[in-house]
Amino acid sequence: MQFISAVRRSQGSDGMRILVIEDDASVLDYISRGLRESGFAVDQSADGKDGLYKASAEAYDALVVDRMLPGVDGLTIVRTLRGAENHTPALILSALGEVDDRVKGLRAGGDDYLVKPFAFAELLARIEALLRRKESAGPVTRLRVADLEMDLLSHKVARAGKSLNLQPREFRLLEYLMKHAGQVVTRTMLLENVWDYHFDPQTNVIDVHISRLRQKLDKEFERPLLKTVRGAGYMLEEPEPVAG
Amino acid sequence: MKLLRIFRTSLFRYTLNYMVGVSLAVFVVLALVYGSYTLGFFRELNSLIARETSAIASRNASGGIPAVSASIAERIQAPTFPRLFYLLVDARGEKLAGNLARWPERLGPAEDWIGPGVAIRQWTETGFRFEFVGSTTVFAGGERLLVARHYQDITEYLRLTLTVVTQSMLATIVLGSIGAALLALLMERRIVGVNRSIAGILSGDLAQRIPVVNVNDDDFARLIVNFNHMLDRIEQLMEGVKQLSDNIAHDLRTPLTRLRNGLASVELDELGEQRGTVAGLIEEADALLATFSALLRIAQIESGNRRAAFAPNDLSTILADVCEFYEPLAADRGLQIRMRLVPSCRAICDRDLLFQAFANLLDNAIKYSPPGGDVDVVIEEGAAGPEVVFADQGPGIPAAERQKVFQRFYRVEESRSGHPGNGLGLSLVQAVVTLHGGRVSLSDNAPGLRVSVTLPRGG
Repeated sequence: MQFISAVRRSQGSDGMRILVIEDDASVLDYISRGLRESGFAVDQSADGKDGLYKASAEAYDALVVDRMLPGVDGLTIVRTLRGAENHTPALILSALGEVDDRVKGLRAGGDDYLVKPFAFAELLARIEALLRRKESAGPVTRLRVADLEMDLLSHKVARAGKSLNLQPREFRLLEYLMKHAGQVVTRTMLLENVWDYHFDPQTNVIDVHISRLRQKLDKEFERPLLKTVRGAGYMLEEPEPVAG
Repeated sequence: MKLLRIFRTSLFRYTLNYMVGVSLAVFVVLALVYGSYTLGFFRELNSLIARETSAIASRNASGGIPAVSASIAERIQAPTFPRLFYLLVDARGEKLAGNLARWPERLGPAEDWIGPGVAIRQWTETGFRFEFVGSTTVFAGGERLLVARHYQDITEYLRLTLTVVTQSMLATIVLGSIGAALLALLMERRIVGVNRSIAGILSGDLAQRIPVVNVNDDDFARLIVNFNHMLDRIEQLMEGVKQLSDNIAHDLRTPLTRLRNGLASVELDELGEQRGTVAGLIEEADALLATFSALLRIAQIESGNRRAAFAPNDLSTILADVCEFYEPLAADRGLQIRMRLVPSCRAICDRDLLFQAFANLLDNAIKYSPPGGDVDVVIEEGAAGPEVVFADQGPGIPAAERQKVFQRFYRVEESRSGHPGNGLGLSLVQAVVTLHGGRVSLSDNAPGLRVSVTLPRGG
């Protein structure tokens, strides 16, 4: 039995190495600066050949690869690495952003696919989710965040010993949030992983689902677990100890 | 009803027209043949009678009337064909010689030529009821000579000719029609294959080409080769458009994103009073980017070759997921989504795109419904394929505007002020449905709007 508990982001990403392969200098700079501020060690590469060389020569925790690159394109890089039994999590960036390309990207061996333009928070959330996926490879049957407990086999959820009555979709939503406890989870990540559709909702329906879940989860408790991260998404987190 | 289809082909009509023309030409030729036959026969007949008359009359100069009589008797005795009739009478009309009893009643004494069918029709004295032509000559002493011949054999011969001519015409028409049908059938075989390929290409598979069946280099094979070249060209152009939109995406969206992210990196908490302005600018940039993405998305879907994600899916499941996804939003607005779904409705489709299209439609239905109203979501197996209906009880769309709402950025006037949106939602819906080979139609739900999406049967 394996428990996953909330991990502070600064602890989780310390010392982790990420290679960013991107030909647009300002985007490269923007991503690298953001990742360094978040505590990652970042290597850069501005063309496909150099990127492929670095990615195969050194051990990284994750790769961020642009699809359109001079020399060797992004999909070829990932395909080549996978062919050489290199399974470093790879996030593919693209300005195309259509399902066809997404399908091609994932078929080539990419682990996630992000469409430009993106907010940095979205990129960061996805990279952390990729790193976490790598950490927790074993089968998980119970999840716990603070006093919230979920049994994945019996489909039961309880907070502070008090059973919560969740709809099936609310259960999957909470399961995803708990599996990524301590990480920012964006709205599109929820759509892709909880609803299993890749699309662009016109209105923020996700917020309504979250507020329903929050009603059941936090209403009768003093310290909320489910937080809204402005400009990014949501995070389920062990509450800070109350001062004083 | 393959035969009926052949009669409707252009080639059959073309061949038929050609055949009518040929028949007319054959008719004119045969009529000329018939006419010249008739004319030739009677000319020959007349010249025979003229020769006989002059031969007999010439005896008058040497031996007078008795010599003429003798000549006539001689001729009657001689076995000649065709048989001619002679009569010589004196001035009083008494018979002097010949193989006729008396002068025909209706024939005047000095009439020279008796045309066919004019004078001595049914001249019963000869024992025949045939028509005759003949010639009369009056001698100095008042004696009259008649040489005549019936032309029944000629009439019979001409009648036979007419029958042959008519039968030839009929044979031309019948054989020509059969030939036209066969020719049309042969062409139809080749054209059906070509049409099937073109239909496939039109439905989005631009990589498809028309197979050149006939290897020998006939005009049809060359037509197909040229058509295939044209398709190559179209594919290149489409690729060019796609490249262009990809480049726009790459070249414009990236700087826009930098702008947006630059704004986002400003620490809002340290801004004080300008905090609202910057937050507003970020929202504006997001809206701009969203519009831009939607436009590119529609353009790419409309280019028609975005079919890699097509797979067999259950429309009912997708629709149920959309309804479940929007249920909390509807509940917040006091609306109820009433679903009527068939248990399983298979279709070959892109589930993400259909989810997006159905989501846009349900989003609109919820947005424009009055509080407490109902939204109906129905899926039915129609005759042609599954039909998905979204019906609300909102203000609806005036009939005149129903086609325009599919245009990019078009928004119904009343909705501009009241509801958010970029005017691209229905354009996207139409692009997605068209990509699937389906159709979107709007109608009055009395009150409200009824949107019907029909998709082709599949899977």
